[in-house]
Amino acid sequence: MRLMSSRLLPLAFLSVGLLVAACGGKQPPVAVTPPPPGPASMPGATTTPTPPPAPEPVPEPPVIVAETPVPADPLAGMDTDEINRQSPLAPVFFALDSDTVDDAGQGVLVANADVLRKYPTWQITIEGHSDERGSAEYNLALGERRALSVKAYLISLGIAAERIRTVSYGKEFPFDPGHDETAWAQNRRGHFVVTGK
Amino acid sequence: MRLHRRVLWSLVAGALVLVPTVPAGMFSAVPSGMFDVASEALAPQQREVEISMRGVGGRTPRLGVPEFVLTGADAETREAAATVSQVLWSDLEFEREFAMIDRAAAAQVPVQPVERLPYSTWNELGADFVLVGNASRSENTLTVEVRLMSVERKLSAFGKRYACSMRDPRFCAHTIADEIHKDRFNLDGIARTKLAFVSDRDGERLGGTIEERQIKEIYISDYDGGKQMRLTPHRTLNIAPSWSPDNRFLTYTSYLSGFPDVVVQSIYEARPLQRPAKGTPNQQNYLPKFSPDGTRIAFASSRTGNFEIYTMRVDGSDLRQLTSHPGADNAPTWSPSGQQIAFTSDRSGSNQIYIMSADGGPATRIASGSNKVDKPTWSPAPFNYIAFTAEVPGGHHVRMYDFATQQVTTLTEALRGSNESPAVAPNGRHIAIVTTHYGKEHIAIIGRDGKLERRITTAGNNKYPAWSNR
Repeated sequence: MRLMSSRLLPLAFLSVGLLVAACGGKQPPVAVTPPPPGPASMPGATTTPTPPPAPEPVPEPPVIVAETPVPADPLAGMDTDEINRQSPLAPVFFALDSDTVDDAGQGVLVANADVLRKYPTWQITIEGHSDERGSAEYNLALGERRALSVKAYLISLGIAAERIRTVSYGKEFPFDPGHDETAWAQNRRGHFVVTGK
Repeated sequence: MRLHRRVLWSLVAGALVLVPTVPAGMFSAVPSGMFDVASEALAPQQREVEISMRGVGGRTPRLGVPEFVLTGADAETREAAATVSQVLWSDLEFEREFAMIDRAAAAQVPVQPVERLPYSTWNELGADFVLVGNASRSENTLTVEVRLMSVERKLSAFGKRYACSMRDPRFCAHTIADEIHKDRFNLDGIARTKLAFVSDRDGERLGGTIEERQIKEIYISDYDGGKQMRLTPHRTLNIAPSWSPDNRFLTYTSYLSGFPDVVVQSIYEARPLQRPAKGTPNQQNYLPKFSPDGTRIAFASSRTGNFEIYTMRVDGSDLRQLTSHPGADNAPTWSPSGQQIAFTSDRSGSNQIYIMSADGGPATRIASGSNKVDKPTWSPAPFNYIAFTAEVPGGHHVRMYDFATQQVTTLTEALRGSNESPAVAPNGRHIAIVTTHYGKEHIAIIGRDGKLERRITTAGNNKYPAWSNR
């Protein structure tokens, strides 16, 4: 992984100028649309200043631009390591000893499904994690059930099963090393990793 | 049984029963786990007497171990001999057949060869026996003679000469300890057995993730924590090792391929890693255990979308699915005979221990006396118990279900923190566990009476202990 990304680094520099073209190749059909003004924006990012106000009477083009921020989409040009550093797919959290995707989790997965539809080539792995309570062996099975629950819900939202892999890490890789409820809540999760694009 | 054991001794008090000198290298400890020490006791000119292995009034015999007598020794030899003496003391203390006289107290007694052993001084220290040793070196061979002298009778109850490797004085001591326990108490010692466990001590991070994930690798050590070394170079998550009956292979769960799979690794030879369960992203395999005869591996797999128990031949052929239940069936362990498999299942609503035939079929739940349990480990004969992890408020205790009495005993009452993941020694008398007694997760050994006997690890977090076979 590391090797690949460092090997790609010079390429990335080279491709800055070709970004539009490069992205166009990977993105949906509308990619030929000229880039809108303004800095690159990430899905969901709120800090991006809105493009300078355009002249009023432009009925159609803005709609398309808003729907597909294709041309300057930074995620499109990144390798999977870089994409994962941006965490484009939010984690789903679970109650103690539960593998049920609750309302909040369902909301997260609806948003994640949108992202996955936007990047239809992405392959993902859903990692099932647990908090440190409970025995190590039991938590392997619990992590597996959590990952499978998340996968099942994504499939119900129309994401192809072939794009989704699951893996359980039990309680082996806590996100928060603490030993209190705040940490445990962080660690009971279905975690998304983009593994292919 | 123990009160009066018939023993052989030589006509001359304190004479040595000689062992044929073993070629140098035979005792080599690199890697010691590969060798069994063949030591035959020659018994020239013997007659039988009885030496009681009890102390005064029938109590546990008190044993003193003075420093070894050295003849023309260089610094290296002195160091090796001191290691043998120290480890031997520790090995003998571990099994509790002798009440050991404190090493500092023993150091006050002048070191003398057996002919001039100061019996009266030892008597004042309360010794029933003294283990007199001497050591000398010839190139890479450390020759160690030990004699177990009765203070009361001034006779030798045990005497042997060992040709050891200078490279591994610990293994020399372990061999002597096992032989003394066998000869004097008919006890199968475990001083030459080993532990495998999982540790994150090297502080290496998993590549390709944004989170700080510490890799976990498999380590092995002597049973007492000596000679700890890392076995796996995978730089990923590796858990739950299990020893082959001949102690030459470990099977464990490795995420080497990006998902959990069962691997089999040769410990001492550079051989390709085997993946008999042939895992794929959709056929993930967990928690393998070698059968007692070494022909099969039991493991858990989620390949049907649910955890079930399977067995296969070690080469991956003859795969059998033993359970088929909507609950999660996990953590298989073999009975000592290999006829049955114990495993965990949450089919009743909470994780409990079940036993079934090694060919599958109906499963019987054992009365664990606990709300939620895990990691059953079957004791070897002559004991007949299953040690397991029990969830309790704030953590875990290690408990023991005795088949004879159907009673459950908590073994870790005396320890702080959380205690889990028992692995039983091949003689059934000791149990390696994971404990947070010392703060982080460490491997420790407790007796089956719950006594904290040894701390094994000190660096990093350490989990999943597995005890080798004899």
